[in-house]
Parts: sequence; C-alpha cells; structure tokens
Amino acid sequence: MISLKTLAAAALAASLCAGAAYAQDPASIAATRHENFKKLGGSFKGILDELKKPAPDLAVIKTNAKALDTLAAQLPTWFPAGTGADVVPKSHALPVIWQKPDEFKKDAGDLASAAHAMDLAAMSGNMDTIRGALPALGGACKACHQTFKAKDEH
Amino acid sequence: MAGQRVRLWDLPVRVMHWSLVLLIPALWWTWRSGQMFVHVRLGYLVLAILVFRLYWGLVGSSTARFSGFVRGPKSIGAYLANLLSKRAEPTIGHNPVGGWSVVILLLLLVGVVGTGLFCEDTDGLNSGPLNYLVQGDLSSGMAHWHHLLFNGLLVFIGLHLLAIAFYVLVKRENLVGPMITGRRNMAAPMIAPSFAPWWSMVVGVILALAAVWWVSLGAPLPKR
Repeated sequence: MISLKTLAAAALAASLCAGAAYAQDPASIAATRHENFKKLGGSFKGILDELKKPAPDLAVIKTNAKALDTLAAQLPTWFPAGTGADVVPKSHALPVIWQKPDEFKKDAGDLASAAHAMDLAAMSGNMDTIRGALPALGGACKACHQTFKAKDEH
Repeated sequence: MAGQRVRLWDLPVRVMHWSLVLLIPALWWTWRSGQMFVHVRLGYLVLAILVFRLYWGLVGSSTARFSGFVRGPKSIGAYLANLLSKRAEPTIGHNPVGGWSVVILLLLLVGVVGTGLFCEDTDGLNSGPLNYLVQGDLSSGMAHWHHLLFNGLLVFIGLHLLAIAFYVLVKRENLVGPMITGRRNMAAPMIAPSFAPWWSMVVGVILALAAVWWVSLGAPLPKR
C-alpha cells in the first residue's frame, strides 16, 4: 500500500516536473504527462478496485481520492503548446487541445470538480456517497478523451 | 438423384456460429465508437458461447465433439493429398484441416475474451470484471494483448472465408447452406451423425449463464 508520505512526495515531484516542463524538450514533457496520467488513472482505479472487494478499506480510498483531487487540479499545466501528437508521435494528445483551448479548459474543469467531489465523498466516509461520485468522474474522463485523446491502435 | 438429405450440424452449433458472425463485428464497432458499456455486455455473450462450446465439445452431438474432429497428421496428410481429387468423399462434419481451424479459432476467442476480462478502461467505468485483480503495467498491458489476439483472430477468420471460397469455386461444394439449415445432400449412403439430447443443451445453457454471472461479479471465491 502507498503511504500518504509517498503520495505527497509523488504529487510534489509531479508538480515540480510540470513546473519545470517549460524548460524541457517536447518528448520528455509528453513522457512526464504520460506518467502523470498513469498516476491519475491509477488513483481512480485504486478507488474502483477497493469498492470491488467484499470489505473496502476506507483509508485506501481516502488516500487515492486525495491524490486524484491533487492531480486533477494540476492537469491543465501538463499541456504546454507544442507537445502534442503532431510534435511527439508517441503522444496521444491531439492537436485539437490547443485549437479549442476553451473547450479543453472546460473539460479539465469538469474533471477537477468531479475529483474534488470524490475527495469530499471519501472524507465523509460514506460508501454510498463514494459510489455516487463515480459516474461523474468516469464521465469526465470519457468526455475529454473522446475529443482530445487519440485512440490506441495496437 | 440418388442422394440423401443428411442432418449434419445441430441447432446449438449453428446458433453459436451465426451469433459470433454478428457479435465479432459488433464488438469491434462498439470499441471503435467508444461504447464500452455495450462492448463489455456483448463480450459476456461471447463468453457464454465459449463456455457452452467447450462443454458441447465434450458432450455434444458427434459433429460438435472435439474427439470427433481433432485429427492427427496422418488424416491431415491424406485429406490434403486428395484435396483436388474429384473422387474425394465429402467429410461428415469438420474435415481434418477444418477441425484444427475450429480449435485455433476457439483458442484465439478464449484468449481475446480472457484478456478482455482483465482490460482496463481508460475512462474507469467499463473495465473488465476481473481488472480489479491486476494493477500497474500488467493492467494497462492487457489491452495490448487483447488487440493483438483480436488481430490474430481476424487472420484466421480470413483463412476460414478463403477455405469456404475455395470449396465453392474449386470443389463446387456449398458449405454455407448446411451451416444455416443444418442439412446437406450426400451422394453416397453414410453413417448418420448422432445428436445430443435436448436436456444436455439445457444443462449447457445453465452452465454458461452461471459462469458468466460468476465472472461478471468479479469471480469471487468462497471464503476459506
């Protein structure tokens, strides 16, 4: 299990990376962004996996919800111009992100509020409230991915 | 004509076959268009078909049993040697090469469905029912194998269609009709296949539905 301290360190490292991103080359910015999304998705999955268990551990859900809230708030800073799939072929970030910045900002904002709602739900400790916060969260992921993320073609 | 009409494929085999013909493109399309909720449900149907088919391969009608159509290299050699000969007797059920094609198609389907159960949905809400059992790179890597095995499946479906075209064009034999009606004309008298009783079909359906239900719950094991 990940301790709060490691998570805080990870979040700090992530924010430092995002901050320092402007000085880096596009490929490493995209790579850092990819890692950040893995952490973001991982914290959401951490909550989902826990809820699947016969006796969900509230502490695990709380830790993941906190990390999710922090990461989701930082998401808009992960996308400096010139780091999309048109520049970094490996990236799944479609150029439309920078062509429709307002739409992208709105979608990112939707995720941030859904993640914050999940954090509050986790702090409440009520499993039904936590479950109730799931659809908005998944919906925010999906809405943004549909417009702004390239599909995996293996 | 001296031929006789022979019952060849039983109802479950035909229903499963044509269901897969509809389900496989539908599964591809629901993935492509991002309808993952529907994709997972259709996947459950394929899982049910696979459970029933494996059961049917053990206790089903003679033309559906693995013991009836999985042949050794000798039969395959004999079949291939007589492939273009006009005198070659048509096979009752799968021919020796077709039998292996069925085995490979089934194994690929088991692989595609099996990895699908563990796949992670990037949007979180429609991950496979067993995704919670895997984490990290194993979880995100599952989709890679799911796609790879699906492409393998497409290759073997392509070969399957080529074989059907070969039979129509070169051997002047229609294999599609019997898969619809279950019957075909045989020029020479032959030993009719034996068919499984109806209750064995009911047992299979119950078995398949129970398996899907258990897996959809996340395959919980009884507490020790």
